[in-house]
Amino acid sequence: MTDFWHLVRKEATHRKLTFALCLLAIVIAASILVSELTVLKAHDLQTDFILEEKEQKLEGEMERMEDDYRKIALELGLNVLILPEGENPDDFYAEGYTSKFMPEEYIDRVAESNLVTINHLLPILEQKIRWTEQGNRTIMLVGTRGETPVSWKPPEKQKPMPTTVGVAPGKIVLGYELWDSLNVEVGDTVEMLGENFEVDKCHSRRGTIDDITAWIDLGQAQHLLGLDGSISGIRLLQCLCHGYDPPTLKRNIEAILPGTQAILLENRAFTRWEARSNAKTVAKSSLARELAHRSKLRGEIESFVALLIPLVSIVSMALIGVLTLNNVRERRQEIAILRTLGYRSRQILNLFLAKALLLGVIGAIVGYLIGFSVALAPGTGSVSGTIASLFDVRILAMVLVAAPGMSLLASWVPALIAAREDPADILRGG
Amino acid sequence: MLEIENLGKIYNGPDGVLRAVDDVSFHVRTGEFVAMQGASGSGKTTILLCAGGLQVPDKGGIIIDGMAPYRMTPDERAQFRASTIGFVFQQFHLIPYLSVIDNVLAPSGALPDQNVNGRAQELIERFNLSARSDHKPSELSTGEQQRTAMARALLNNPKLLLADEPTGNLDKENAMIVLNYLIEFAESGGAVLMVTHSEEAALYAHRTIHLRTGKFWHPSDNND
Repeated sequence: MTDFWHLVRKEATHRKLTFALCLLAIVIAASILVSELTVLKAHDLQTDFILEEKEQKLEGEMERMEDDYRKIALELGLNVLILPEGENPDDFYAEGYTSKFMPEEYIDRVAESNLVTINHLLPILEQKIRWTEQGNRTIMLVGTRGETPVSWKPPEKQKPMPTTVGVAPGKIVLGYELWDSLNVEVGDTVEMLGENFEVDKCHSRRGTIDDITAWIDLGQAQHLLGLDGSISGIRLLQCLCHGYDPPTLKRNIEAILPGTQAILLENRAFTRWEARSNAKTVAKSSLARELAHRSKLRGEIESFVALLIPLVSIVSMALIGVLTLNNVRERRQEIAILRTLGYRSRQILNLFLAKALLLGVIGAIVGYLIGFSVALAPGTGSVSGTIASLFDVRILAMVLVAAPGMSLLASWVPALIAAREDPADILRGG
Repeated sequence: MLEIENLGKIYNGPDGVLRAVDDVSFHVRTGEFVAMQGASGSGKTTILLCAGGLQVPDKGGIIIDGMAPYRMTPDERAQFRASTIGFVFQQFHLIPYLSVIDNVLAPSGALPDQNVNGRAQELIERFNLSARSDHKPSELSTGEQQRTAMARALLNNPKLLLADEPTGNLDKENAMIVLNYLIEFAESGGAVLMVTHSEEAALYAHRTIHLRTGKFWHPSDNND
């Protein structure tokens, strides 16, 4: 019995040139499809690789910066000013005192907290007052108890800053303008708000508001000002907040001191932290730029592929169509004799479509192998990735469907013409 | 076996209407070998094609083995042709890329359920083609090609054999072989209708029909 595929195969090997040209058209189209899609996949892999590499590099740099920051923070620490919530820091800076107050026990809360390692903890009570005993002149009165010992530091290491030494009850420290204009010296007694104070120290000229400031004991100041148990604010100097970044430190302080605002004062540590944050932002935007660049490049390849593949497919299909039509003309006698022998027109149609299918499948396989090899070749942009990582079963499936589909579509009209040939017309010599 | 009644066929060509066959009636009985003679354009081939179920007549009817092929669908007619009719042509019309055995087996593609390999081998031997079984038509002599075509025509055990100038391209010896087989086929219970220009070939037939311009004509007719 004559096998249907036997006829197809014999005819294909008989008219080798036609078969080879049709096959070539399919192989070219299939290999271009495969190579372009594989190059796109390679591009995606390379993009992932580049971004991953950059991200790892960034992570490393960030860790180094983090370490640097820790070292800097160890030496410098951050300065924080804690004011009552709602107090405008600008007013505080301009006037030198606050209009709102917070409980004095907040000092102890901070001192006992493990939030930060504070080197210097200074409670503040500052008010502008009229010194009625001295011609009603305006002075700044500061109540101080010196540095508050912090829980983490052993007693022998509780070294107060020179400017923040506490003032003993009944004593007063005067700024330059005050003692100079009053013509008093250490050991003299001055009266303020109805109470007598012994001059404990006279500061030299500083050229700041300190020159018209008088420092007394915090408790006495609270009593004189009618602000028992209250303070204006707290200064935390040289906070070593290991493991925290400044914004986290601020949030944590505000959490343990309700009704306050923590203001981070800029210093070198803060600036370095900001620089580090900025560097991270810059690095991230560099990553985003790289991604955008790779996306743009992919878009350009995609546009090229979107133009090339249809163009090559159309040309290939046209070539297959013309060659198949020519094949039908060459085989008119054969078609007529097959019809005479009892073949139905559908069988004639199937003979040509089967050949197209055979061409498509062979073309797909050969085209895949060539296209994949081309995509792997140096200089095609697919330098990253191994054969295994570039192999995509979806591309293989796509080409195994597309190439035979293309071949069948191109052969459809010639096959229909073959099926509709009139054998009587051909046998009569028409 | 073959009954042709009032057959008419018209072609519309560039020179106008051509009445190729005009009201022709005849029978070819089982066991009969009928030759059909006439000049070119007398309608011989048209009658042969109509008889073979390949050319739909414009008029009249054709009955083959009790069946009316033109009342069948094209697919049914193709099946009927494959199982009932064998064709032999002057140009042999072998399929160029198939070997002798594959050419002989070619009709089996139209009747895929039959196993005819044994029958094909039998015919190859019967027509003395065993040594050429794997050869392509281009490697055969004209006599071998026609014998291959004969074997192919007989593969499906047809009841009617239609031959169009089967000896036209053959030498005397090969022509005799073919004609003798046609006689043998008819005498073994088949029916043969052969178109020929050759008076010698026509002498092998039981009777001869003469055609002129699509109509029967007798050589002794004084009008011509």
